[in-house]
Amino acid sequence: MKTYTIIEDFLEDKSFVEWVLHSDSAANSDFWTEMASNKIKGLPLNQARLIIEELNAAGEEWEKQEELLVLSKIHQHIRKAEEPVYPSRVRKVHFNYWNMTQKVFFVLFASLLTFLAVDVVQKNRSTEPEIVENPVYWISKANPKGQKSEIHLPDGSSVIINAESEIRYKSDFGVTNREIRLVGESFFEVAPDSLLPFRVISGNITTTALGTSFNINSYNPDQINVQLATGIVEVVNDSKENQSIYLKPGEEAISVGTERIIKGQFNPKKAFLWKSGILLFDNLSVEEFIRTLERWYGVEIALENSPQSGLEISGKFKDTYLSNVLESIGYAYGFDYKIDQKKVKLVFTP
Amino acid sequence: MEFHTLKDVELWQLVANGDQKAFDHIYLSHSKDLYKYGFRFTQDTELIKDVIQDVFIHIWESRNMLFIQKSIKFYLFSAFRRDIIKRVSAACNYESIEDYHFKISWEVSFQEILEENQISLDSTHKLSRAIDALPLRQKEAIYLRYLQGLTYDEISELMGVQIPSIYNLIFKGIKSLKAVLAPSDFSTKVLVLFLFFLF
Repeated sequence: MKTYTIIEDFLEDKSFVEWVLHSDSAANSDFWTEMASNKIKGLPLNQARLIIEELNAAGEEWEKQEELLVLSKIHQHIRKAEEPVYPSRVRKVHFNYWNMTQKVFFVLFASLLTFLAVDVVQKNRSTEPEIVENPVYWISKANPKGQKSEIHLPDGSSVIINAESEIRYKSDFGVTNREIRLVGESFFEVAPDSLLPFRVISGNITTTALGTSFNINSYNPDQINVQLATGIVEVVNDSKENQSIYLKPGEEAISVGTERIIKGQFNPKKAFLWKSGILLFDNLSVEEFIRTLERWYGVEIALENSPQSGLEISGKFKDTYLSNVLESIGYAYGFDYKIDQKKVKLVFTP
Repeated sequence: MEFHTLKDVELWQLVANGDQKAFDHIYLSHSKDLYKYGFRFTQDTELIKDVIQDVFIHIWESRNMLFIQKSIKFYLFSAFRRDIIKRVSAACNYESIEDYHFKISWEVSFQEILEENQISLDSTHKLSRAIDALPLRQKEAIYLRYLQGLTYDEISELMGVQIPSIYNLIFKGIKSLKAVLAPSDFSTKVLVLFLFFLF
C-alpha cells in the first residue's frame, strides 16, 4: 500500500488526477472520496486537488462540435491531396470510407445544429424562426496592433494577416463561395479553383482572382492598394458601375476615394516586405511614420515639440526592436525617445 | 475494432497501413488535450485549431515514413509544440521566443497589479494567481507531468531541457504553489483538528 503524505504523492498518481478531473468515471473514485474526508491525509489531498483543478481550468474545453469540424476539415484535406495521386479505381475502398465518414459527420453535425436551432426557436419562437434553414455563420480572424498571423483557409488558400487587420468569411467558404471581407492589410495566396472565384471585398473595392497571390492594403479606406505578385486579378470599384481593371504581375491598383481606380507599376523590391518581417519607411510623413510604428509594435506614440514641416522619413529594418528603430531614425532626423512599456514619446529638438 | 485496447505501436501500425478509422481514433483521443495544451502558448483558438489540423494532416501524409516507437501522445505533443511555437513566434515576427515569453509574463504581472487592488481574495483565487505567476517553463513542465502524465524523459525531450532541470522546474513550481497554500487558515484549521484528535 502506497503512502500519501505530501502533495506530490497525489499529483504523481494518475488515478488521483483522473478522479479530480472526472470524479464519476474514475476507477478508484470511492477510495479517493474517502481519503478526502480523512482528517490528516485530507489536507495534502485537497491541496493537490486544488492545484489540479486550477491547472486544468487554465485552458478552455474544446466543444465536441468544433473538434469534429476540424476532423472533417482534415478529412477533406487528405482526400483532396490523395485524389490526383491515385486514380479512383485503385483507391475505391478508401473513397467509400471517406464518403461514409463524411456522411456520418454531416448527419451528426446537422442533427447537432437542428438540436441547437430547435432550442433557440423554442426560446424565441416568434422572432427568428429562419435560423433553422440557415446554419451558415461568419468566421473572423483578426490581429491587434503588433501582431501578424498566417492562416490556412478551407479551400487550401492561405492568408498572411498584418497587424490591426481582420478578415471575415462564411462557414461555407470553399463550398458555395470564396468570398472574404478585409479590413486593414493582408497578403493572399489563392489555391486554384476554376469554379469558385476568390473574391476579396475591402471597402468599395472588390478584387477577384482564380489562382494567384496578391497584397491588399486598405488601412486608408480612401486609398486602397492592390498589388499583384503572380497570376491575374480583376479589381472592381463597387461604387461605380462597370469600373474595373485587370492587373498583371508587378502592377498595382490604387483607389481614389470612391471615385476611381488608378493602375500603376510597383517596385517589387519594396512590396510585400511586411510579411517577411521587414519594416520599410519610404518617404513617410511623421504622421505616417508614427502610425506605422504603432501598428507594427502595438504601442502608443506621442510627440513632444513639433518636427520641422514637410519632414520625410526613410529607412529599412528587419526583425528589430523598437528601440533600435527609434535610435537610428532619431539620430538621423533629430529626435530623442522614451519608451515606457507600451507608451512611447518622441522628443524633437526644438 | 476496439482501438483503445491496442498498444500505441500496434495502433500506429494500422495507421501506417492506411487505416483511417485508427487515424480518427487517434485524433479523437488526443485532440482535446492538444487544444488545452495550446493555451500554454496562445489565446488564439483559431491558431490552435489550425496547428492541430496541420499536425494531423502531416502525420497522415507521412505515415509511411514515421516510426512511432515511444508513444503517439508524445509524438503528437512534440510535433504540436514545435509547430505552435513556430507559428506564435512568426505571428510576432520581430521578437524571439524569449521576448514572447517575456511579453506574456509581463502581461501576467500587469494583471496581478490590477488584481492586487481588490481586497478580498480567497485561497483558490490566490492559488490561480500563483499559477499564473509561475515562470512559463515551470508551468508547462508541471502541466505536462501531472495533467498529461508524460514521463520525465518525454518532457525533457519535448522541452529540450536536461532531465535534472525538469525535476528542478517541477520542484520549484510546486514549492511556490505550496507556499501559497500553506499559511492559509485552511491548514491551521486542519492542524487544530489534528491536535484535537491527538488529545
